[in-house]
Amino acid sequence: MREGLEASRTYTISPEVYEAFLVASGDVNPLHVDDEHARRLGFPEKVMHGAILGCFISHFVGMHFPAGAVVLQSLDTQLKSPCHLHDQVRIDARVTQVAEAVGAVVMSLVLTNETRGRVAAKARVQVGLR
Amino acid sequence: MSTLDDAAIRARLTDIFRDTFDDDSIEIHEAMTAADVDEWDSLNHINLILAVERGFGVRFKTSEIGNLANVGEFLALLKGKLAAAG
Repeated sequence: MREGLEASRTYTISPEVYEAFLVASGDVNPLHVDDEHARRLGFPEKVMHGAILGCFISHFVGMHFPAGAVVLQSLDTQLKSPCHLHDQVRIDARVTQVAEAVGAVVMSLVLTNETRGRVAAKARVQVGLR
Repeated sequence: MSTLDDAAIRARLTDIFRDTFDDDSIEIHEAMTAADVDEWDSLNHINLILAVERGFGVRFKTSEIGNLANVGEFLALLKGKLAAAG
C-alpha cells in the first residue's frame, strides 16, 4: 500500500440492488418509490437513495480495493447529484495517506454517474489495515 | 513547516487535539496522557495520528510512537521531525 495508488470499479443500481436496499433500510419515502411524486418535484423519475452509493463504497473498500483485510473507520460522503434506477456509477479511488504508525489508510473517492455524465458523490474513506 | 516555532507548533497541535476529540477546552501539556482525555480511545488515537501527519506534513513509524509516555514526548518527536525536514 502506498500513497498515490489508484483503483476503479463500476457498479449498477440494478432493480435487485434497489429492492434489497428498500428492504434493508425501510426507507419508502415517495421520492424513492413513486415516479409521479418524483416528477412533481422536478426529477425525471424516482430518485435512488444516496446511501446506496455508500453500499457500493463498502463493497469497493472491503472487497475490491487491493488493501487486503480492512476495517472501515470513517466514511465522509458528499452527495452531488441524484441517481436513478439502472444508472452506472464508477468509483475512482486514490490513496492520499498511508499512516504506517497506526496501520491506517485514507482514500479519496470520486463517484461518477456514467449514465448521466456527472459526479454523483465524493467521499473520504479511512480504513484500518489488518 | 520547518519555520514553525514552538508556540506555533503547540497551537496547531492543540487545534488538532480539539478537533479530534471534539473538545474546545483541551489545553495540551507535557504530562498529558490518553487517560486525561475522555474521548481518547483506540480509534481516536488513530484519528489523532492521521490528523497530525496531515496537519504538519510528517509521517510517523510504529517504532516512533509505540513507546511514547505522554504528549511531551510526542511534541518532542514532532519537533524533531519538523527540524529534520529543514
